[in-house]
Amino acid sequence: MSKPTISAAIEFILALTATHIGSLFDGLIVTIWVTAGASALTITLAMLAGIARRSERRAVRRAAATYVELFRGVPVIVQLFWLYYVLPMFGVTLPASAVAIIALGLCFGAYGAEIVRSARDSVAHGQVDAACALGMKRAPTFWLVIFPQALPVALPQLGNLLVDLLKSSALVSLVTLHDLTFNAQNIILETQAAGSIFLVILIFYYALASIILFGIRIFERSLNRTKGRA
Amino acid sequence: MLFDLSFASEILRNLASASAVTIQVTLASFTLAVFFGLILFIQSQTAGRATTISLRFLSDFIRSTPLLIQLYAMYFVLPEAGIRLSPMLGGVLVLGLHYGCYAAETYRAAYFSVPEGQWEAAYALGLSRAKTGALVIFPQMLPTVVVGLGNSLIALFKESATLSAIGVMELLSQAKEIGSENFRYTEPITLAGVIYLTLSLVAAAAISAAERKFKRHARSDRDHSEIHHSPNTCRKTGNSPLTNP
Repeated sequence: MSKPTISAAIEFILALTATHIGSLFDGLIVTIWVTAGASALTITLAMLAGIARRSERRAVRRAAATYVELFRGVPVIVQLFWLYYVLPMFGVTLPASAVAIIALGLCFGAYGAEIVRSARDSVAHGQVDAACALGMKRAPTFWLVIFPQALPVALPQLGNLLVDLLKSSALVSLVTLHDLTFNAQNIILETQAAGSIFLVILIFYYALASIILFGIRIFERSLNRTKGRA
Repeated sequence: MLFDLSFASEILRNLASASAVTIQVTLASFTLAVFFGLILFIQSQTAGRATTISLRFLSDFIRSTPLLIQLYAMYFVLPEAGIRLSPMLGGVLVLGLHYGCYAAETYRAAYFSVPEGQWEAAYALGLSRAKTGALVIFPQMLPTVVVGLGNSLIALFKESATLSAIGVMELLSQAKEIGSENFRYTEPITLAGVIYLTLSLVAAAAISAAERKFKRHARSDRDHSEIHHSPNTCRKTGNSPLTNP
């Protein structure tokens, strides 16, 4: 009884996807670009702010802490709207794609900074003392001693952060960027098939999130392998 | 004038009453999330294998797809099925379900953080399964649960701004409406940001106070479990438990 209707529904969804594959694909590309660009900015800012929070200079620590508290305390959608609606009032008009990448990157960079900081703190202090005893300077101590031990601690959390970033990238459709969500809404206006289209793009997002988590897991595994060999 | 103070103080009243809506939405969906998460967690612990796997998949799916699209789906799809909900009620339901899946993960993590030996010891003392759960396991889960749910509460509070996309008149929608009516976005959106920031900092401070209280209790019970993080070059700066949006 229910089997024919389910297969009919699946057939309908597949046909719908096939007709609008061009628009869905264009949107997917924009979503991937925004997520990738914002991820790069996120990781850069997270490293800078996370390390700055353990600086010897008080002013640097304060500045990093202010950045983290400010950008974690305000919803990402408010930051997005601020850059899109308010910044032009100050004479700075950015294209929507730049607004999207900067807003997501600034916000998630603040979350990432906390991951970097706690991963760094997880490395035992004796490691730093040992490096000091061997006469290592500060930069090599960080890159050769702390970083390789902190990275495996940070990676799983980084994976979750990037999935959250991907999820938040749907918000950029609200500042007129033609991402997956935006194009899906256009298709729905045309076809009225809201349920099917939303299901399809939810599956797209789920697939992207799975790819991110899978990539992080592969990276983690390769790190463990090199650690085992050493 | 870039930031008009008299205009800002004029709209502050409207924004304050819209913040009340945001807080109501947050508390309602948080309550829903706490109970829905508990049901989800208990179901996935006690139900059969097939149910457990499908529940886990569903929870994974909800947690890794955008809230915005889940809100749209509720808003556009439910009427097709003949169910009409106000944006407010629908939004609270979707937020509650979304964060309920996170809450279930919090319960799971807390449950598995209690050592197996606690169950065995309680059974050896002749306690029933229900009594062990309520009197031995649950109190030990509590610190992890309180911190995890507290972080979810802050995340939920901030993500409630997404409800502006389906027309719930909360803080951000109000700010946008004031902006489009007066052709001035600077004051309303900046003020909305400041209100969100203030409220989430207050909530974060409350949660870290609760966390410290629990830690003090835990320390008096078993001081060996404390892990000391030592900073590398300088003294520690404070941190607050804000988590992902």
